[in-house]
Amino acid sequence: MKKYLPVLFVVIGLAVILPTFFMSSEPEKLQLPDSLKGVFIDSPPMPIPEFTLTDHDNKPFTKNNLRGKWSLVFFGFTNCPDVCPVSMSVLNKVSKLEGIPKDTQYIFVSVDSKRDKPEKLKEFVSFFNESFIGATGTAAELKKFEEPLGVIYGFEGDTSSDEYNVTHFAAIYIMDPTGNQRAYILPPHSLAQVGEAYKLIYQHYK
Amino acid sequence: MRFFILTILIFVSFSAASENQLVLENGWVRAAPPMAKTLAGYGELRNGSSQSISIVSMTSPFFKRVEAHKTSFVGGMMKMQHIENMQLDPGVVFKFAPGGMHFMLIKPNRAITENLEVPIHLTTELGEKFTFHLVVKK
Repeated sequence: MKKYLPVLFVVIGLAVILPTFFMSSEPEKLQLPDSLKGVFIDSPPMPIPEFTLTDHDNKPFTKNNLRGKWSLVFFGFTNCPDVCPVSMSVLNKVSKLEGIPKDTQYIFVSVDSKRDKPEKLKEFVSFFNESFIGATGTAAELKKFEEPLGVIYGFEGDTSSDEYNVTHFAAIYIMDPTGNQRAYILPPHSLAQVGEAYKLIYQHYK
Repeated sequence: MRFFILTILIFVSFSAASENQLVLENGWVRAAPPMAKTLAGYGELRNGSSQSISIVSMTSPFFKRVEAHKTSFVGGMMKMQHIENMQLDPGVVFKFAPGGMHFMLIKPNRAITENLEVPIHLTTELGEKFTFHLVVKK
């Protein structure tokens, strides 16, 4: 038995080191066709710190919820009549495209937690797709998630009333299964742009 | 009698011409979840007259307020601007389309369901009133 011990150590050592080596290897940066405008790839992925939001079922939504699956994340507010519905409806169409992983998560993060309570978020996201996830949180928790992504937002008008407007960065973020940012897509969004970008990025980095 | 009929005909044709001064084509409202407090309406607003037309008010019996807004993207940042003075020069068409100008329909007082026709009333600076119907669709 003793003579096999060194071999066993080598095998265990390789079993530990090899996956780490392969996991940390970053493929060459994907070059997107010129026809795809407003799509920016992060190579290597942009790290996102741990955060805790609340989802549309009043359950915690943390970075762990991003792990293990690809996610498309959009920030907005439910009172947004013009831009957010377009991006949400594009995401719904993307989810039905061929070549898109079926276990992709589609997440709408409201930056307007004062008005967008979980039940309202649930009604909003399920209007576009029953499987979509809505989440929001306190300004401090939102900041942990949004700041590294570069999501800027602000409120215009009287925020003590219920008629104020929200100005916000309206990109769609592609998060990889490590829960980090792999790419972002600037608005205005179209099915052709978001669908094609996500397909190419997923195929290249999966 | 002839004079009477002629007068009526002239009056009818005049009012028809007047009604064609301002036209909204392909008017529609984006269907929204029942909880939505604001909806967006679109269409092409055309000034078919030979005069400039200034819109001074917009109302709808289905909403508390109607305003013209313009969305713009600055480096991915979405901003909405309230357009307070809407003046259409002769022949000009304002395209109200997603991601640009839209009729902001604020606080519905009834369910805004698919296929519903939403009336909006536009009043010009000269006191003329125009009514358009926008169909709710996804």
